[in-house]
Amino acid sequence: MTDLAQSAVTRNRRNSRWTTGRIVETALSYLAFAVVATIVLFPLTWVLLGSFKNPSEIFAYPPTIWPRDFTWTNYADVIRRTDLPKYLLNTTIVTAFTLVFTLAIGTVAAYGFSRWRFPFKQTILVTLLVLQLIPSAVNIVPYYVMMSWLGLLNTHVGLILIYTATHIPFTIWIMKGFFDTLPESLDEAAIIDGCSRFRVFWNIILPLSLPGLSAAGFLTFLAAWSEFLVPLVIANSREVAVMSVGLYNFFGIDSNTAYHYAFAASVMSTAPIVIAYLFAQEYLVSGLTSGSEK
Amino acid sequence: MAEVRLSQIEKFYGAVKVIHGIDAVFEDGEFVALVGPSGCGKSTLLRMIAGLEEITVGDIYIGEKLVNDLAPKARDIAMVFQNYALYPHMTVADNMGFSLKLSGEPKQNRDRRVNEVAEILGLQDLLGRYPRQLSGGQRQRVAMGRAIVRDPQVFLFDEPLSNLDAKLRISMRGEIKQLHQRLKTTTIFVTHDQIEAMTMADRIVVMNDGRVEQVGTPIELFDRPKNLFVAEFIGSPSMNLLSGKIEKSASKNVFRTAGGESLPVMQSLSAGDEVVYGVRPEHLTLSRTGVEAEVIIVEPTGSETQVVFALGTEKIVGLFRERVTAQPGDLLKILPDPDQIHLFDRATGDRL
Ligand SMILES: Nc1ncnc2c1ncn2[C@@H]1O[C@H](COP(=O)(O)OP(=O)(O)OP(=O)(O)O)[C@@H](O)[C@H]1O
Ligand SMILES: [Mg+2]
Repeated sequence: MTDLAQSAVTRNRRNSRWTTGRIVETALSYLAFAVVATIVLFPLTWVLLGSFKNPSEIFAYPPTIWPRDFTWTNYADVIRRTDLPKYLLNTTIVTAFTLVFTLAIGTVAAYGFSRWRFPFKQTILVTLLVLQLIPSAVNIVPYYVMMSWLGLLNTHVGLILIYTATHIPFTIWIMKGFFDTLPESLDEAAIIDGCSRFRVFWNIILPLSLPGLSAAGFLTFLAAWSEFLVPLVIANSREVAVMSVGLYNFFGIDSNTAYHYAFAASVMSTAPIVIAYLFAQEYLVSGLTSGSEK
Repeated sequence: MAEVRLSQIEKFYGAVKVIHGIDAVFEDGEFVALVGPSGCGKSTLLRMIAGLEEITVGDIYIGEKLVNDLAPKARDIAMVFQNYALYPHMTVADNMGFSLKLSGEPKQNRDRRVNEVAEILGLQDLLGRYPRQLSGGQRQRVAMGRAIVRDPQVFLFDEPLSNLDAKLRISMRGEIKQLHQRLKTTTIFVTHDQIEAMTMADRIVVMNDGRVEQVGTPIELFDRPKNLFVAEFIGSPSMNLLSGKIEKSASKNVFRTAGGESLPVMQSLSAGDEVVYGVRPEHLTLSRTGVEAEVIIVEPTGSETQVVFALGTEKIVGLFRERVTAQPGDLLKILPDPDQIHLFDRATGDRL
């Protein structure tokens, strides 16, 4: 058969797959996607668009979707008149230190788990996983007691300690999974070439694990940035409060909430996550599926 | 360059002993192949020389230096791994120059040396590429380049050709041999492929189950295998081994198989000895004075013909330079060359 005839046959076969049943099936699944997307996106869109509306327009009837008078004043007011900038700074400090400590300790530990054999290794790994399954609500009282003993209530250090401790286990799991895919002969070749163990880790293993590192980094960032319950209990004073706790204060009791401010503040608090995601995205997908490739 | 000396080397993994007291000397400038079946401890021994594996008992000397407690980088060795272990995120040039960079060599010297070696290996045009952009053979060459750049005392190769296809493997065999003739660096080459060992090495160390069975030149191993293991392991197709007894017949010794066939022997042995009779396929001839055997399979390769016979209850393989036109089921008379007979003690397996 010629190439032309061959391709005609394949095209025919592909066309014949578009039966009525398949069209309906495809249409229905896209409809389902649209519904789910709307449910998820509607509140977000409402907040985003609402943050550019005048206070009166937010509750105007009939409601508007697109802001009638597009305005930045809500943002300007939130930055100038509220404590949100301070909350965001606090969050940034806590998140940044958490990220650095978690990745530093987690990757080194993961390298150890990946490359050395020692007693109870499997048990320790499973224990780490089990610890990860305990919701923070269960730990909140012990956290409070411990931090109160250590005199770290209402400090950033307290939050950083708790976040780092809680995020190290999954960092170890993700990174160990990644390191396991790199053959040990790489380490050995580098050692023969003259690397110290740390140098092997730093110059060879870590650069090859960037996808895993960005996945672990993003998940840690996400969790540390948006954690609510722990900081609410451990560090709720105005001076040290993080964004999630501060944001909570925007929503007053009954109808006292200044929604135009709350909306703008919410957008400003969420934006870093979106930005971080865009940065991590390139590596993120390959990081989360690394086990299946290679 | 330096000699490598192993003295009473033992290795335990936990309670399991995998190397059972090995003594060996790899002489300065020599190319030695370490062969043996899978799991016999070749890699373990090589890795102990490299310093990647701890030495449980015994001493290793490189040159005059006892290296037991030296780190790999202080032993002045270079190793080529089976999977090449090239650094995927570095270019060919960076891969090759990495060790020099670590030892603090100035960039200018480094580049000069890398270029020099690239030229030897024909890698000049690939220096800017990453390992993933290379073919298997090219990667193999880069791995060798990385070893050569350091100008070490000893090259250690762990089955470096086993990931290549058959044709490339044969041409790399020649290249590595030439390279050795040019550089004259002591080389220890691990392989489980006895043909690789035979064709490349000055001397071969045959290992089995953590022990050295025999050390010698390829010809020595082929002509005078010390025991049944070496006899069977060296040579392809492998030696025919038949069990039976020595008998006296008309003042001459003959070998009688379990099935009652008799074959000639030159060695003077006393009648009644239980032996294993070994003859290589290429040392069988078709002769009117031979013993009758039934043809089972005929495999012509063009230059030679391999024939499998049934001799009584045993199978025996012959390799003939002439064309054999027999059909399965035919009866042919075969005769072992009496000068090329190997006899082994049935109980100990040692050569008689
Ligand atoms: N880390 C280890 N722990 C326990 N036993 C090991 C370890 N490494 C190797 N062994 C055992 O030591 C023996 C020798 O292994 P080695 O890798 O040296 O064999 P080899 O001759 O190189 O085989 P191959 O040709 O398959 O590469 C084997 O029985 C193996 O199971
Ligand atoms: Mg091996």
